[in-house]
Amino acid sequence: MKERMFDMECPECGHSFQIRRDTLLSAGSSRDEMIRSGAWFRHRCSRCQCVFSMVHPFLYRNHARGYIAVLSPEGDMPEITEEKTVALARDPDAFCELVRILDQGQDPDRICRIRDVVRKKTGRSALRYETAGNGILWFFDADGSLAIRDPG
Amino acid sequence: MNEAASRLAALRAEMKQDSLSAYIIPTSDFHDTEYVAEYFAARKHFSGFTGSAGTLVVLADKAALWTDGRYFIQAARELEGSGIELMRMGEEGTPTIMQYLEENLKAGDTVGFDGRTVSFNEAREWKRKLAARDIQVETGKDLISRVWTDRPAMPATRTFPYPIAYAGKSVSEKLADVRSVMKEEGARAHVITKVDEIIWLFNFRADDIPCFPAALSYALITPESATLYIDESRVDPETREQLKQAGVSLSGYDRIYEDVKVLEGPVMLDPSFVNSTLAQSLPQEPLEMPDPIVAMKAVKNEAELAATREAHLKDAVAVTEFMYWLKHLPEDAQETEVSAADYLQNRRKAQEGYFEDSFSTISAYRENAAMMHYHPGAVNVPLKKEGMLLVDSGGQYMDGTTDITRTFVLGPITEEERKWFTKALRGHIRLEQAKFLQGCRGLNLDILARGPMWDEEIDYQCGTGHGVGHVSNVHEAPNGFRWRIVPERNDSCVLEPGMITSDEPGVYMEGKFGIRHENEILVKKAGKNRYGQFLEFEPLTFVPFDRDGLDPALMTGDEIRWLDDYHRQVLEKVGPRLQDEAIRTWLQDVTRPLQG
Repeated sequence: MKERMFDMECPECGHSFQIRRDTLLSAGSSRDEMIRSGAWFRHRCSRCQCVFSMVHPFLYRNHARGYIAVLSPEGDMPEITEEKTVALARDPDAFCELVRILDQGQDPDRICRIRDVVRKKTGRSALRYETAGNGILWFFDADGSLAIRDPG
Repeated sequence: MNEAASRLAALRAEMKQDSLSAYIIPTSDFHDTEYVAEYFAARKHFSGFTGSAGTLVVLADKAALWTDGRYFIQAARELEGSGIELMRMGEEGTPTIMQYLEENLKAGDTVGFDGRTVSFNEAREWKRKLAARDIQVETGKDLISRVWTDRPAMPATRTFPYPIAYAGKSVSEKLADVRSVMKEEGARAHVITKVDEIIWLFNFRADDIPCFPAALSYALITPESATLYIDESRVDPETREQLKQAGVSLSGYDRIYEDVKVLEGPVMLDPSFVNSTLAQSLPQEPLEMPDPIVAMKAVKNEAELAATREAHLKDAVAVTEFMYWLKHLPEDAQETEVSAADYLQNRRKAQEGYFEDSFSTISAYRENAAMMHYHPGAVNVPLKKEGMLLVDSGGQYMDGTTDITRTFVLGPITEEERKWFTKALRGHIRLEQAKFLQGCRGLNLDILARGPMWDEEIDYQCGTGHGVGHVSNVHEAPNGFRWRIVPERNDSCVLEPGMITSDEPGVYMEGKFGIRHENEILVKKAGKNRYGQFLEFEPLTFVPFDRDGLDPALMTGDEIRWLDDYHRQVLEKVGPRLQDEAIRTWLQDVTRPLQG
């Protein structure tokens, strides 16, 4: 576990503050669910109480599943020598979606291709992958969940 | 031979070489700091005792360690097998260090210690008493460095500026205040060795000491100049510029020992904490007086108070989230004292401006909580859905320092536990409710907290509360609550508006349980009339007390009203800051009035 202080600014009221954040985590702790749900990055501004996602570099390693997920706002891929699947996201929502995909042993490229098609067809451009099972893929956005048959 | 015993053997070999019959190892560093960096943890290294207070005295054939009531149980356990005798300070029949030396040494013997780790007052007192028995004292003996071969390096972290928005006063303004006192006292120089005073005076912080954001440094103030003694390469550009603008120059850390040798005129210093090597280096007798900075920084200004209130609300969010988690652990949860402390730290990390804990968290389950300053970790203690967990913890935030204790009920408790849980909370409430005339000291008010326990002829054997620094040391002089004066504690000053003190009475039953309820409280003005200026307390901590431990039948109507009003404020202030709706709903429930 590595930590760094980050300068943040509330997108609503402009309140600027410093916050201590982990920049590296391994799966297997109580934080896994927070990362999958996105709660890990959400922050309530102490001034205006608005909730927003904090964006900062972050690396999540899941040895059991054999992957490393990287959150890099600038899109820079860190040098990783481990023989694992390495996937990159540029914002917290995309990162958490990536972790959900990889945790379930899915192929990120395939799922994202299907998601993009669904987005286009439904006009729901914020849809994100949620889970899969029994041949069904589940997506969600602020309006609720949406299920489609997995095209395989 | 255990590790401590073999280290003592090596030390004794050096003592023999230097013809010392006794060697004293206090807990302190060169700055009389309570929590010391690992470099200075010599007492721990040679004894194995990990508490934050204690003095080790080593003789040729035996050794003894003095510590106070907070650590009796812990020290007894940690000293086992070391051959070191535990001296329970304050207990009848326990000799003082000097009595022990007088009994065990003979005329012509020599006692040694490193004068940089012993205050001028203490060294002088030891010399005087031992000289009466014709026992010599050598203050320049640093045997530790010779024996402790794998000693950690001296800390040298980078400084960072402390924003004026939180500090409330510039370096120049603070220097002017200090110089004004110097002028009144006729001093030509003021020697400062306390690092908490230095970071306050010069508006910077660093990370040399765990849980205490200070830098090892000294300062020397004259009417015309101010010098900060620190390794210059450690000073960040912004702090350097801030110091330059205030006319403060930088000099090497050890250089002060040379510079004080040529000081002219009366040099003001506080002999109770300036180290004896430095005080003895002066060319003439010092002007001894209480350090004026102690009182200056204890009375927080409006900016510091506003920032501190905010820090407490953030801390309250973290502790409330922790309490929710703890109270909702499933039956088969594999949590322990240590994992609970980790969870709490992670909740604090999620708060803006948090950068470290303000002391090592005490997470003590059931009978372990009877040790007031227990540190979890030696044994993995699993938590069960029964009994109580005492958690004493705090955070260092950019805007303030916090310290809070709550005793959480994890499941069924005994009637005895419920009774004492309630009694201890009554003590807490009675003190926090107090209204008193300006001029009172903590001594005048301590009985309010201790009364419910004294009524039953038990005592918690330590102070009721301590002063709290501002983004600094969590134990700060000179304010506190204590039933009798302990001079070396320097915590019995007259209470002034702006002072922050903890209110933390408890009940500790060895082998059974421990209970403590702690808030930080601020002294503020109440009414003024022909009798004088009345003062009262404002709570800064806003976290629910666990109502599952209470027996309201043991409380007075006033106390119940206070608790209901306090819980109403908790809900108002903390509720809107909670991110999780489920925790908000739960908070409404646990803060509902006892009195319908």
